[in-house]
Amino acid sequence: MDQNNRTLQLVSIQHELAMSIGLDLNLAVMLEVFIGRMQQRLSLSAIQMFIRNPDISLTHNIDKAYLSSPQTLSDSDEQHWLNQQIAQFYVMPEQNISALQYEKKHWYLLRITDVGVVAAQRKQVAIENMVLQALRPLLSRLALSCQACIEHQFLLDEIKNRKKVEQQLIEQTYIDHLTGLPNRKMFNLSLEKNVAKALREHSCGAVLYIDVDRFKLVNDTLGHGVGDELLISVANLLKSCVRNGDALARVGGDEFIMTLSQLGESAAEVETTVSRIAQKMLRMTATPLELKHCSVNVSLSIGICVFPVFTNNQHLNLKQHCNAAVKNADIAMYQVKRNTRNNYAFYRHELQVLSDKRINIEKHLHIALREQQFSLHYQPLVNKSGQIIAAEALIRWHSPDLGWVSPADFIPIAEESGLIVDISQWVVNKACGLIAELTQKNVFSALKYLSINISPRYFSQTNFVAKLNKAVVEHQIEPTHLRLEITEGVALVNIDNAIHTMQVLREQGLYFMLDDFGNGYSSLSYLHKLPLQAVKIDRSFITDIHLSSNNRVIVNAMIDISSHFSLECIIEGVENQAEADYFRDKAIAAIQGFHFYRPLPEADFVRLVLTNH
Amino acid sequence: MSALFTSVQFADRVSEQSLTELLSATIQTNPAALMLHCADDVSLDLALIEAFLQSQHIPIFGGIFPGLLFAGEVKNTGVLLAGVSQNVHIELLSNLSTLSSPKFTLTPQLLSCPSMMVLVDGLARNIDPCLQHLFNQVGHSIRVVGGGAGSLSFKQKPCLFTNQGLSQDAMLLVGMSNQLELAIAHGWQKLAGPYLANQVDGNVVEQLNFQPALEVYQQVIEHHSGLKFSEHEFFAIAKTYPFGIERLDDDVLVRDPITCEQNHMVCVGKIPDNTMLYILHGEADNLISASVNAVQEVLSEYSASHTFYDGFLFDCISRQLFLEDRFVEELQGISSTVNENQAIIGVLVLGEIASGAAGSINFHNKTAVTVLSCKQSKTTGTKAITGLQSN
Repeated sequence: MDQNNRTLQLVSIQHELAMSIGLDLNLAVMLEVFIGRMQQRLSLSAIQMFIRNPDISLTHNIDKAYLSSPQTLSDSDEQHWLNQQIAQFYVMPEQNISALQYEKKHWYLLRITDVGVVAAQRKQVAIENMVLQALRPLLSRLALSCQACIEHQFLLDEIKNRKKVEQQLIEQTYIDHLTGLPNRKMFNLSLEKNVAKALREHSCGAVLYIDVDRFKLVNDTLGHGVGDELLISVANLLKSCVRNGDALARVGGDEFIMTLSQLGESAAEVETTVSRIAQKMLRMTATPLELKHCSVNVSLSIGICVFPVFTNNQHLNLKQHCNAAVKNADIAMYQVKRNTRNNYAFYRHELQVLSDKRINIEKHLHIALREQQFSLHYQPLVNKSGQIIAAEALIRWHSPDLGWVSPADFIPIAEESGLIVDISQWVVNKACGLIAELTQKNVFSALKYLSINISPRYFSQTNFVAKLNKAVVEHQIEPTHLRLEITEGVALVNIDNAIHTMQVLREQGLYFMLDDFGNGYSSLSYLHKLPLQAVKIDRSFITDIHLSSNNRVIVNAMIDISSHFSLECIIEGVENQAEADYFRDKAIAAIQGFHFYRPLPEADFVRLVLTNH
Repeated sequence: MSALFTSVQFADRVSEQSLTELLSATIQTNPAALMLHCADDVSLDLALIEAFLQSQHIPIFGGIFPGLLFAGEVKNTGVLLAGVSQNVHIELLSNLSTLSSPKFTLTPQLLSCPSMMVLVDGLARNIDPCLQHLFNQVGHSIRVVGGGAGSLSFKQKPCLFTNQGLSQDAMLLVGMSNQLELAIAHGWQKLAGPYLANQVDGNVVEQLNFQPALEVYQQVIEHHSGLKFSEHEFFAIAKTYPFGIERLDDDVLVRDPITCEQNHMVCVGKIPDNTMLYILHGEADNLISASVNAVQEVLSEYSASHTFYDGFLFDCISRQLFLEDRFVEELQGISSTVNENQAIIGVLVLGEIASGAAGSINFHNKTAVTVLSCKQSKTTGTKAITGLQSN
């Protein structure tokens, strides 16, 4: 090769290799292109790239090839030898190129400043020094390009980490961690999309509000671990009922919402389809759910609202459409809860009326508490001779706006809203106050006790015992003068806890009476476990007892059972002489009913007691 | 025994009968596998071949090539069936052209073979990167040889054979148990250059020395040959003047320009951008003597330590188109060097594949690659066995 061509060859090598540097910002890809081209252009039999580990910037981790072509040298001793040479070469910064020989093979080590070393192998013929020197400027250029790639990679990692954190934040914001389902926020976004689409395309969809029945019972009796497992299991069941494009979210402790979109063009068509899906959900929960360590019977209450929601005289914007759909489904779900549970119901306008009434009552209950609109009426209990021996305190509410509101209307609402706790506390204080007043007047001796009704929610308060004690102490009354009436439902929520609470209070002289006995689960298995003082036989068995042999058999049995368990037996709901006569020779402790006394306002009751005294 | 083939059979026509007869004769020699090559022929019944391939109970591989080499002649029709003496391990890489990154992992069985025959759809894209990745895995421990299958019509169609049937746009890797030596040569000489291929797109040279590639090329060729591009078909002239890619201390790598599009030149095989290109020129005598000499050199280099048996030739179709009638001289020259008693068999290919002297696997054009089956003598260093032995 003449001198001109030799010069041209060197320039061409420089040009070709220089142009192959920095073609990618990914370090591995960039180097792969470069070493591939170098291997081809310089007729190399092998080439390896050693770089300082960019992740450990202060450590010169140079003992392993970053890239290698071929991937391995056939002679492992040669690789070991090469690694040693690289390590030695790397710590001698004054040397940029080193030519070595291993057996008949020529090795060239080329320093890439601050980055690493390229090791090139030639078989048989050595690379001329002139060619090696021509590579020098390329190494500087390669070093710069490698640094750029490494910095770029740092930036990418930084962005990746930031995105990861953002993703975590999104998940925390929009995902329910227990079930992995979207939460309410996320659900609202997808609902808006679905409703907007429905409005645009004149199609209909449905919102299903799904509540797990008696979930609290599972949580209280089997523990939160099982409760969580149950929720995950229910979530998985519900997932199998949704299609792509539908949405399912967990929006509360045991509440799920589902949106089913594009179900048809008419509400009737949609109702048929949704009914089928709701029935499928109920079928799926008909058999016990198998959890890790137990199986649990579960049922669902499902409220459904078809959307878009149309109102008679109101134009709704998108957000109002969505809110209305969810609210209506919720109303329908509560209707199912109040009725049968384990069922589904579609929202109807009548439900809205009921719901509005309920909301109105709840609003006024707050005012009632604040403005002392409640009062207690007292219905005396008499013995078989007709003497007043006790009384049951019954709450009454007169609202300036609503008039007299029946306890049957406001107590369930107070129970659901939680206001019952404050109301109950008011009742306790009021009853204790009257006991204290009558005791002070020295007339309470004619009475054995005043009883008050204890709601399930009040009973389950962790400070229930403390609050009662406090009232008893504050009013300085004899604990036995106050009796607590509970229903079977109160005790059954968590029977072990109930027994414990009752036991504690009994030891302090506060006795329990089981109200509405016979109207409920009436499991005799728990009757003897509960530390009761008395049972009150449900009025439904008393009505026309003189005419009904069935009721007589049942009531007689109840009286015998009470006697067997040494419980006082109280008859309530006696409304006429014939009914009263029936119990004349029965082993009962007291009778209560309109036939003897109606519930009396406090002043009338006090007057009556004073008169009798 | 380290001969490649237990027997070699040829039939002029591909029919059910001819295939059955060839198979029957081959099976009698108790081969470990079958190598089936067909000449690209419009009358080729692909369904018949597919059924034949799928009915085989021993490994079978091969392809459709522009021509077959048998009995010292080029066969433009017919079928060649050879019994392969030792076990083979076959793997097929599919969808070469659509691979975004040609990364594949060879099985340990394949990596344990001393040699590998690589047959590729010669019209597939990504052949070069696949060969580069193949080299990364096999390194210097496996001797690789092969060529591009397909049709000279340059229409891509199924052209590779396995027991599963026909494949296109694929690469067939056949791990072989035989030890092979390769004689690679082309005989093309530098005519002009070097030129900087400053603008290249894969196998299309767009600019040389920052000028339209065709203009530069045309000027040189018309001056040298006295032929006008305007008066002749491009390939009729270009077949005599391929490109050569400059490699340090190595023979230039030939690239065959097969057509031109506007002022760009389309070659067989990738051309690296910013590489130095030469325009080459060939003389028939040089080409023939180069391929024959290459075989002789290998034989003499290893004759003291190796026993050679039979061989196989991957010769470039454009080499045959260039040499025309004199191509048989190349065949005869190689045949007589390898084995005086038996003409070498082989295929005319669209690009040749071979492990180079430096070790890397190259995709050649216009080159003859002779595969020589051999066995290292137990008494290496002494001249215990010399010369050639037929199978």
